[in-house]
Amino acid sequence: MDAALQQVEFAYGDEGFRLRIPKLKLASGSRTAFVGPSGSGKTTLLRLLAGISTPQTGSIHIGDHALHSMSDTERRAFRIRHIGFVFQDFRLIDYLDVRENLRLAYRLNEALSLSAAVDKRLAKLTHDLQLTDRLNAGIDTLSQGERQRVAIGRALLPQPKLILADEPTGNLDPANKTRILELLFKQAEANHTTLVMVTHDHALLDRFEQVIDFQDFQAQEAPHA
Amino acid sequence: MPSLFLAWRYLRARPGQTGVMILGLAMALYLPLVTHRLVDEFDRAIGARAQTTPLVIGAKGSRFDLALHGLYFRARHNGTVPYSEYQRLHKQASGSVIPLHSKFTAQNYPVVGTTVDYFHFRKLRLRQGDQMRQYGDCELGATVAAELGLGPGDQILTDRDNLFDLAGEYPLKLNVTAVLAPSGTPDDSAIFVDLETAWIIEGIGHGHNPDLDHNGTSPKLIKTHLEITPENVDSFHFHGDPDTFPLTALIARPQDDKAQALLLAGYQDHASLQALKAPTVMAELMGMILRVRDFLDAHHTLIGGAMTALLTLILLLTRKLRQTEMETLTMLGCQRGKIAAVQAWEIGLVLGMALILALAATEGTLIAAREYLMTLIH
Repeated sequence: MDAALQQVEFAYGDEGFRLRIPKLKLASGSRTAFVGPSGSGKTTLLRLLAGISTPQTGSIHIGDHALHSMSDTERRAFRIRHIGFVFQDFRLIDYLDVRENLRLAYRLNEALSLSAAVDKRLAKLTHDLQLTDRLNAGIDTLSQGERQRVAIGRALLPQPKLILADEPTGNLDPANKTRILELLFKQAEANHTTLVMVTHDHALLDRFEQVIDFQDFQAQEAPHA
Repeated sequence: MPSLFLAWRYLRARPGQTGVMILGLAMALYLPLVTHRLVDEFDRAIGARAQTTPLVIGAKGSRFDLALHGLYFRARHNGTVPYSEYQRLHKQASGSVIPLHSKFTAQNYPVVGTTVDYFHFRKLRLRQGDQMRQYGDCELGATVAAELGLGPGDQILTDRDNLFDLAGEYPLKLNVTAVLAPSGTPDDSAIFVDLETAWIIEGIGHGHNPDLDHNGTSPKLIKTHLEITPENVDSFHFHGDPDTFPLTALIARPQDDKAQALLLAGYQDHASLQALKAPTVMAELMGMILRVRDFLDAHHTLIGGAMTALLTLILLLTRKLRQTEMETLTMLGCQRGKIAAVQAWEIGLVLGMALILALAATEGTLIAAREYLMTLIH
């Protein structure tokens, strides 16, 4: 699913922060990295793409859907069906085990039904993520790498068309970082999912087709994009 | 019910925190609950007994002591009613009158001297054994029999009033002839004898032991208690004027309101006796207890308020701590209403469990305290 932003402006109430994006395009199935210093608006843009925040001006299209003109309920329904999140701090629910964390989106949303097909997909996904033995484990018994794999699994299970990852490797050691990134790329590619990732790790940038630097906010098109 | 599912998982994952909240709330709920239930139970128990006992007649003095004595054989009421008073009322035929003599105990259970009318009046039935036939026989209330493990054919010794009063009455070994069916009243905790046996315990009547010489001394044995046997029962006799033999109270059941009014009027200016309406006196007693309960209620309200404030603080702090979790749920598509429902369920579950715990503790206390409640009117 592709995405297009045009003349988007967003500001937080009294904080003086203002994000301006004249034009941004994300091709369907592409990998895009957001880089830039803290506070430059990377996470804010993820929130705008997810429909959690709405711009004061401008338009945001995800596929054929005009996110900027949707109501809160419509945006929520859209988010449930089409968008997956991966966070730097994993954001797993510590009172649920691995299986329930993976199923969480289905528990929370009537729009998603927890069917046998979903459980079958969950079994395959946990196999791919090497979590099969950890399904009944508590979150606090997992390693950092395992936690991030659970977070990726949670984002992927509903088969989203767009994955928004906010520094998903930020808390991982180098070995885990590479492994997680490979997993994320592989899974995204297998589902033809558009991937947007915030990262501070410049060594990873050559893995992305498009890099957006928030410092001067200029879309850096990769040569082959 | 995903909200309930999440709420339950949240609480289950924090057993310590959840347990403390449940215990705190349960305590705050238990205190007023148990106070109300105990007072209600007490009210019901003493009210029921009082309602079935219209008038109690006894020596002048504390009205409460006399009412409690007539109803529960508990309070030691000073002064006596002469047997002649019982006979006088009995002859009037304007209702029925039942004599009571309850000064002594056996194994700390009251020994109540009365007539067969008392058993009819209280609808007491025998569960085991036969009625009393001779001096020294007794019938045990169900609780006494169960707690002491006694039944027909066993014996029980009355308690000595004063160990150092060598000239005083001797304990009497009572022969158990029957056990009464449970009635759920203070009669279950009493030992019933006939009036003559009660007077023998008091020392008014006595027998002659064949082992003793004509001076009442024995070279063979030292007397520690009295025992009435088929061999010596005929030797038992009473000294003095039977009209003056003491009773501790009379229960009167006038046949109608007019007879009751006349009976009460007859004791209004009596020099040594008084008649009282048991339900009225017990209602006065309950009035005092209810005032104490009201006082406790005010305290419980304060405790409840403090507990609510504390819980509100905990919830507000928890909300702040769980901000990231709530944000994650929102990002995953959870509606705000559902997040509120999760928190409402958490509060509801804690409250529900606290209430169940408080109710269980209240019921447990009531079961454990039922006997104790009756000792409050000792």
